[in-house]
Amino acid sequence: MKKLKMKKIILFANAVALTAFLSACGNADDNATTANVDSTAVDSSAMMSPDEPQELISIPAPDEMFSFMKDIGGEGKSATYLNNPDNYKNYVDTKSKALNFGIYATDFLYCSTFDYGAEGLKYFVNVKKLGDELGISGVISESMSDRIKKNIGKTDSLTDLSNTLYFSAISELENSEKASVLSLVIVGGWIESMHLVTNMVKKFKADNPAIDRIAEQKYTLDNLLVYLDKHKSDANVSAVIEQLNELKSVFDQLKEESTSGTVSAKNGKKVLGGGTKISITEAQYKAISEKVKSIHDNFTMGK
Amino acid sequence: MKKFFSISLTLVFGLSAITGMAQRYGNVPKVAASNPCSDFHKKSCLKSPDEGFTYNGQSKSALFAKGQQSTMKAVFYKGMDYHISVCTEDETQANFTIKDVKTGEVLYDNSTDNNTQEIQISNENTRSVNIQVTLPGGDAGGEKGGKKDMVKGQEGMCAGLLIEHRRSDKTGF
Repeated sequence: MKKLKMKKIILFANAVALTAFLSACGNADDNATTANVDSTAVDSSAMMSPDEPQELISIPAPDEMFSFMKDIGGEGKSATYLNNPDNYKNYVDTKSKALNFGIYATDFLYCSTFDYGAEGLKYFVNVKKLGDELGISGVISESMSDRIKKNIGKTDSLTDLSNTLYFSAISELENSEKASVLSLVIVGGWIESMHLVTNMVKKFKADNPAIDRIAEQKYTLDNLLVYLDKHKSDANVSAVIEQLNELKSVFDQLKEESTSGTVSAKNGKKVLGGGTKISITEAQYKAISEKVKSIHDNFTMGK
Repeated sequence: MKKFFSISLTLVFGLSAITGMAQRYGNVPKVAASNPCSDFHKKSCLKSPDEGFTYNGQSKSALFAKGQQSTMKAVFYKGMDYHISVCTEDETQANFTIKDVKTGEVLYDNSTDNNTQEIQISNENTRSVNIQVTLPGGDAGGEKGGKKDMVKGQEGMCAGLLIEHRRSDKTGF
């Protein structure tokens, strides 16, 4: 009985929160369900039918990029290119708050991964403040704050906590049906990871695995744009799509060579051979780095 | 009203966030999520028994009708091992395939691999893939785990796709 009462309260609270959000944004389109919906459009279940296949789009999180960079030596790491924590005061509208929530969360993750733990606290504080302002303050509980503060200096624990924070924020936004905010958070996180990594690799070398990984972000950007397209009715999202399309046009110039796929077994795993190899020239790398910087600076309102 | 609104928000966001965090690699029941399948994959799909795998943010859960197909776009990087496992609420065995988006080739189909619900893969080249998950059936009703009232009278259940990754060892390809 008590459980039922609690469930009713929660359901009502959910409705209140959703209504408040929609009223504040004046945009109900985010909730419009379509036959093909991604996992962030939670109402997809309402349209569920065996005849209507769902399309879910996943974007690799920044931790995958940072852990890769660390694994290959972490050369070029620097706290210089993190978004200045003082810029926080400039983020007064939903778009800049959401983009920079993603950016600061990624900065916090970068600090955790590359041993800038103490520096990372400043970013964590900004993530918390922006989270409060975006209505997702529940992502950062008191106990999580305490754990983060206690683990400054313990790289593995802090990286794990910052990942938990990032994934919890994504999950929270999915559950709260703030699809456009979620889109912007993901874009902010991706652009920041690109900005930080391109600044780790200043000198172009064709055989540098980090350069390969940056070139391969073409696929992530393609998926990101498909995902954003589902929320383009939101003016903030459509503005960001325009900026990312400029970056896409640079990525689209990269050379791709496809070979037939093969499958073999090795040590209990399937090795998928063939596929498409992307190659990048120094000029293309420079153009991508510059475009990323330009979008990044626009998002952060930095120099 | 303002106070109630604030309490409600705290309740909603607080509960689901705490649950979300607790569910990350834990076996904590799910509460208060507006997506009935949120984080289902984290608590129900098989994790790799091998060392070194970490959670991949491309993992997803969704509500499925029996017989429904869902395609998930993802990116798998070269030089990484991925452990992929599929799970459903009533332990129905799902069919899943992995298709290369660029070449259109189906690279893996678990129906030709004893319907295994988990695999470990590596890629020689980074790929954009479509992972297509199909639940069998469509004619069953009232089975355990169903969410009939939640999906406009249709029978539905949560299905999850858990992806974990680690760097391939140096003896790999």
